[in-house]
Amino acid sequence: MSEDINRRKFIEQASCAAVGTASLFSTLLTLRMTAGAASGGGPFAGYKALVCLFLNGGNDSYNMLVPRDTAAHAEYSTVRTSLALPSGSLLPITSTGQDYTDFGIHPNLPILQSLYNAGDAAFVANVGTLVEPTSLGDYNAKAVQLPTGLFSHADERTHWQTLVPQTRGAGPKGWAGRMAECMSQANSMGSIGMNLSLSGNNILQTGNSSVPYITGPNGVTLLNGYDKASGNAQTIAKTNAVDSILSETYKNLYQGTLSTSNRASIDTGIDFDNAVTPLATTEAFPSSQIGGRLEVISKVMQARTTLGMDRQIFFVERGGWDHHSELLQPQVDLFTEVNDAITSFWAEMGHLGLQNDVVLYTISDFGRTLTSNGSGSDHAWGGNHFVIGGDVNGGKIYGDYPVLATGGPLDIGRGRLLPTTSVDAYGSEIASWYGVPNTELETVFPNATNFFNPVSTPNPLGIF
Amino acid sequence: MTTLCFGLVIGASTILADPPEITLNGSDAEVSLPDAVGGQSFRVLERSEDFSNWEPVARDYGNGWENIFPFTLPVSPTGQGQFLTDAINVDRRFYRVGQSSSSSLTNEHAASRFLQQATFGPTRAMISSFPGVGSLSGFNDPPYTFYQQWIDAEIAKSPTLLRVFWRERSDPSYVQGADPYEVAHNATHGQQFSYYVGTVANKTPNNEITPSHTKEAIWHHAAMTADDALRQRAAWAISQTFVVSTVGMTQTDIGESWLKYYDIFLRHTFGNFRDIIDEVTYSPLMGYYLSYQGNAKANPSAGTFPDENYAREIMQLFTIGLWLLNQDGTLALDGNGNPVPTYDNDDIFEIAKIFTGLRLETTRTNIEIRGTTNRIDPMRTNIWLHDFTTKTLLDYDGPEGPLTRPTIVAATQDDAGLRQEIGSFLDHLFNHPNTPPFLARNLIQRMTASNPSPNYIKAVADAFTHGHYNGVGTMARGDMSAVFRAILLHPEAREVTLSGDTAHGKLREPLIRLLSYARAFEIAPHSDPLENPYGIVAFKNIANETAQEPFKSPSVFNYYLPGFQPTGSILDRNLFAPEFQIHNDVTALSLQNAIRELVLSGIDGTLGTTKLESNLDLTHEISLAEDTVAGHDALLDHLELMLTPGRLSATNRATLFTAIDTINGDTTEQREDRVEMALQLFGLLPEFNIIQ
Repeated sequence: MSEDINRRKFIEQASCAAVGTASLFSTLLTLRMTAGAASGGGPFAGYKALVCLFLNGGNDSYNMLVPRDTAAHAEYSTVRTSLALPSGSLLPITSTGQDYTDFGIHPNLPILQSLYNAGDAAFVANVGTLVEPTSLGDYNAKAVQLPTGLFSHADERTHWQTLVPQTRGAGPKGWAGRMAECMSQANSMGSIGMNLSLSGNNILQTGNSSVPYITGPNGVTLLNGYDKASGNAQTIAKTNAVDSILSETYKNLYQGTLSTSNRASIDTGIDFDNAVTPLATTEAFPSSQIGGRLEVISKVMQARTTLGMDRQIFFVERGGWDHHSELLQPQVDLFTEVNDAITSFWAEMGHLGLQNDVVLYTISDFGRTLTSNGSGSDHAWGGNHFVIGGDVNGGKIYGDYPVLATGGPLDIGRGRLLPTTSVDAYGSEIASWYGVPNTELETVFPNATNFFNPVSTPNPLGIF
Repeated sequence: MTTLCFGLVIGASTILADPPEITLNGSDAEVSLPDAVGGQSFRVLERSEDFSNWEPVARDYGNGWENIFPFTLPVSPTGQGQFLTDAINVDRRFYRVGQSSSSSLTNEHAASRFLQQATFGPTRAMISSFPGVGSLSGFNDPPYTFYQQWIDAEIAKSPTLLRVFWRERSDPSYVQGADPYEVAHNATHGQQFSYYVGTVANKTPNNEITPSHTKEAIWHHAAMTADDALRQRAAWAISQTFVVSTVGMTQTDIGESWLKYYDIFLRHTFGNFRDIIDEVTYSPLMGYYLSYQGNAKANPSAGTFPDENYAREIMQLFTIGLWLLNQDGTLALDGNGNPVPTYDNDDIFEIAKIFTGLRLETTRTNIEIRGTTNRIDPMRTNIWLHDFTTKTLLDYDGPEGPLTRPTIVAATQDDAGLRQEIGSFLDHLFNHPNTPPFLARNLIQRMTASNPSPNYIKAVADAFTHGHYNGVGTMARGDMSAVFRAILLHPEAREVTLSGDTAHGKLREPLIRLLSYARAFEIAPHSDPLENPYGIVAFKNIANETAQEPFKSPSVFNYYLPGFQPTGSILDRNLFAPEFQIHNDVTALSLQNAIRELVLSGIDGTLGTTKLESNLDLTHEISLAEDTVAGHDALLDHLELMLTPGRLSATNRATLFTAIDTINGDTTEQREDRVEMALQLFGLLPEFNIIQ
């Protein structure tokens, strides 16, 4: 303690005279990652894009990927009762590495069957948020740390985006934000960051010092009446005034944040508009929620050289999957939308020559109860997801497709299945393909080492 | 006594000659806080470990030193010789005191600023008629008597109720029902809104207001034109706690059901919280939204259990929140310094049993029902579905002392018993010590400040607990009039010296910013009845521009979360700013574009519908906008009063002056151009978007 006092006294004496110019208020960080090395010469060669498709509400994914093996399908039908899909309606696929080989895809997802059989798509079975490996005994005895707020939408959809499920809330920030921060050398243009959202603010793409650029399916949003190149005197006067207002320093934190972000929104919108709006896709896209957004994403990818981007992460959210009260018909409609949007997207990637440079993957709050509540299903835990991309080792189901039965080895009650693959493993595959160095994977996925060694085994499942 | 460091201030503030004296007391530093010098002065104590990053920890804005959120360092009681105790757990720490002064506001500016907090936006008439606005002194001095008078008058006003408004103007066959708010059709108005009978939507001949637009249209009309301005704003704040949304819902075009639900908050705005949670619980709209309508007790042989949705959300969102709180809103930590959850999943499983056996009322006439689904009348009971076993509730320190796992059970297994059980549980939550501070913080965030101090939260929580603020109230726990008085009359809301605290204030809701323009500039229905046959002032699908529309919250968690932290300086200080959650590259600019559209074209096909047009009346502004220096000043003075009272920076004012000065001439059109330019630029000012 006396040593501390002496040290303080020393510092006092040394710095008492120092009247610095440090600001009274903390420095406002820029809200977007700024430029790094020039593209094409840095550590990240070529171009890669990730498209995260968030099925908001909890996709009942045991009706998306279904056993066709006779005995397994009989077991499935028994537990799912009125929710079961007949074997003959499923789109056939096969897989090695599971308890049996014959599986089927929901009838309204023919593009998935086609890509799967072409080796460009794979499934990952029974994925869910876990803090550490958890057996049924562990779960029942509460012998391990479990995600907070299990089966609650708000908690689980947050956990899928932070991948720190032992902590409630968005405090840990998102893993795509962390990816952007680990790879800040990518992309040469300063105004548009690596993360781009087609569905508003989200946790996934928010890092400690970065936020996504937000745009929508209806084109970029610009500030009307603002145009530096206008020939109209009033427009110029307004534009100059806006520039002056936004160049001021605002001490109030809310005012400062608003001013900084509005400046960025105006400028990024202009850059984006110049680069992307004039472009057209070769394919026609459906004008659905997903279709419209994948269309914009395709155009942004087409503009990648103009925008100076070599790595991009896109986020699309589609709600409506919380099928408590009715499952079968609503799922038909939603899967049709997913199917038609991805069909156009994949064809467009073909035209752009980017099928090997893009990976589209799904996330969702959770899978749903195998058992029915009458005509729907309720919140559960482990669920199935798909990954699409030319580099995917397709035509296979990764992870462990579970036994579908109540009282089965993974049933924690009511037909909710304990996940057997962590989202960390799933995400690590994707992030590693994207170019996150092995040594940074633990930063992006703080819980990864509970499940595998990301430095030696960044691809624990074998998807890539 | 060892002086550890010294105080100095740089930047825009005055350097204090004397550093704060610091005394070591064990491993704590006691930092002396300079006594008040009076006047319009704001003082802040900051600390740093590296002499370059400073964090403000305490402040004095005229009421003695107190913590700055989120700090909870002990500060000795108000009076002479205050000091702050800071545990020294780092190598070194520096302290400094800064001081800034702000000029006091004119009465008019102060009134306008208050109206920005208390309503959807001031009007010229409200400012000029504000009690005491003409008085020479003391307008903004404690106990803020004139503001109290204004509140008293607002509470006394006859409420504008949305369901009543709709019933008078919809189905001509409606008569007065048993419920006093089930009013009859008013033939003077005739039919203006569509209404369902059976499966048929009876629209007006030109379908000016479509069935699905009806409820928003009436909400907007009230927000922009109703006389009971405080009630309308306060009810909107309450409604953002008890969220029911059309997103993911059925029957979204049965206007009466949605308006009746919203009226719960308009009827009880200055009533009692216990009545609010009662009516919300029995609401068929909430019953469907949180899936407990028809909820059945457990059936072991079928392996089914009661739906847990309402049990969870009534606690997490409507009353007690997730963590045990002190009355000042700070976390009540356990012996190891950890937060304590208010409930766990076993509690939810237990409490879910209580919300079983509620079902829709039977269909009837005289209310809007599509098919046979009665979403208007309060739910009735179905005792066969109700779990009548004994339930164990939460333990907490209540008004009558500590409870240890109290149990409730219905006295009789019938309708009365079921209702008694629900009532007992609602009492249990109502009496929980968490409810006052949890509600206080939510409502403060809606009205005045994103990061209220513990003192402010406690004052509002106490108003709830004791049923009065400064002696005014019913003295009954849950008195909402006392809660809103506390929120608006507390010095933290009234004192403008707090503008020296960089974390003071909040980003105004985007919908409110748009509404405030409509109100400030006298929006009125188009005078030609062909353009607006019913005289209704309403936006349509405005969520496209504002990300915020009544009845369209994305989920039961509202448009934004109380704990949202935007990346950057706000997150760095561990502060909250909920409204930034819906502020992004799209919405920031689309709101400004909407303000521009409102100014240039009013409400027509873009912001509303061409069948129901409304316009701003810029006559007054145009009359001021002479093409002279005096004219420019007069216009800017007026706009500052209406939009950025008392907080427009000199630099920005000069920028605005320069901009409008580029438009020359004194024709009406040229004056109008100056006015419209100024109005668009004011919308972009951080001083407009943020209130402090």
